[in-house]
Amino acid sequence: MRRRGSVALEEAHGQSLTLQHTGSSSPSRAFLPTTSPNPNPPRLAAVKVAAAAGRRRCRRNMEARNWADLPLDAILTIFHKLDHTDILMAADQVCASWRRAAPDEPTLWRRITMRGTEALSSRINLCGLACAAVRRSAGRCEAFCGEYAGDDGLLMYLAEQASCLKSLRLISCLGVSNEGIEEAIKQFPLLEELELSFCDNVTYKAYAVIGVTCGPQLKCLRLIV
Amino acid sequence: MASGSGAAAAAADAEEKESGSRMITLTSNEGKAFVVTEASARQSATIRSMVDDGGCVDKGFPLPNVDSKTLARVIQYSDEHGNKEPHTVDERAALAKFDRDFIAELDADKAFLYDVTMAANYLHIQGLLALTTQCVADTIKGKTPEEIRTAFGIEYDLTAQDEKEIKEEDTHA
Repeated sequence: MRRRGSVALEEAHGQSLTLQHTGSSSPSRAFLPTTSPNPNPPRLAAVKVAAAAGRRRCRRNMEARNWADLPLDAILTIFHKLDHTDILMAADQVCASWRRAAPDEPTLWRRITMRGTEALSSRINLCGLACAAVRRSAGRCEAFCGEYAGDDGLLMYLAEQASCLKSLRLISCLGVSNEGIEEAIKQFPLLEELELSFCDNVTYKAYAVIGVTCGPQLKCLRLIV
Repeated sequence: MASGSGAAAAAADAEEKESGSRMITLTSNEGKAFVVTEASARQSATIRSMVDDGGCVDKGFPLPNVDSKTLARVIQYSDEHGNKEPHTVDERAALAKFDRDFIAELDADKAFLYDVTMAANYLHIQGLLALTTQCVADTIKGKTPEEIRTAFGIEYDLTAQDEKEIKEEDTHA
């Protein structure tokens, strides 16, 4: 195992291996889900338009609160607090107005997070869902974090679609191979953070290639084996 | 250019603004007036910008989109967050507990949660909006579309085109 920077690597089954250059600015922040309360301050004009649309759609009575009529800004604030699995599999399919909200917001797809998906992994093709999320980012995905939601196919797709990727975290993605990660990594010239935890089919052979390909710009490499 | 006394008056004005000692009247859509400290009112970016633009502080602010019950609850939040600045660990913990209790009550009454969310959005009270939307997001997490519609009483209004798209996405997945 190579040593890099000032941090030692230890290799042992079940032990966290963290390689981190000194001076990197708080790498853990890089993959926090976007939770800013409101990235786009609500615009009064938009609120008025939404309110007018709400009046048109309020079919039953004026007293009823219709969550479908929430202003776009409020809907997006809620979506920003959700995991992308919840957006694609549920929130996006609730009603017409919620469905229209998500594709209109590129920042929603810039940092894709699909965690806590172990229970879903047996019945849903999470890699397909991850590809759908990447497709919505329209080439602007900067961070992808997938648990049980990544394979060589997704990596190929990311390599094509996300050349500005800065953070790639794959956890328990058994469909990722040495060849897959070695090929994909060449297409991410801006990559600063890489995690390959519990990806049992990625071995030390790939780590060496990653070290050479990414060079010193890779500020954080996390491997839990 | 400001004369010496003018500058002094401006400084005093600025100080008063800063201390939030002025009182501001907010009027609900039912015509009920609520008198709050400026510090409390400044929790709202909408009111803050109107005050800073030299708006009609004396005449007060009518809020045609907010009813009395909702405004009272919004003011309860703004007072707690605007009138005191938490300095100690205990004070911060007390404020966090206030937020937890505040949102727990709203969580139990989704119609009221909706009203407060709409008011927070309209008045641009970021902290309150973050609190209510987090509550909505927590309700959505892990649910199916049908369960979410039930939780919030949302009508199914997806078009045939939407259904086709969803089906195609599923096939892809």
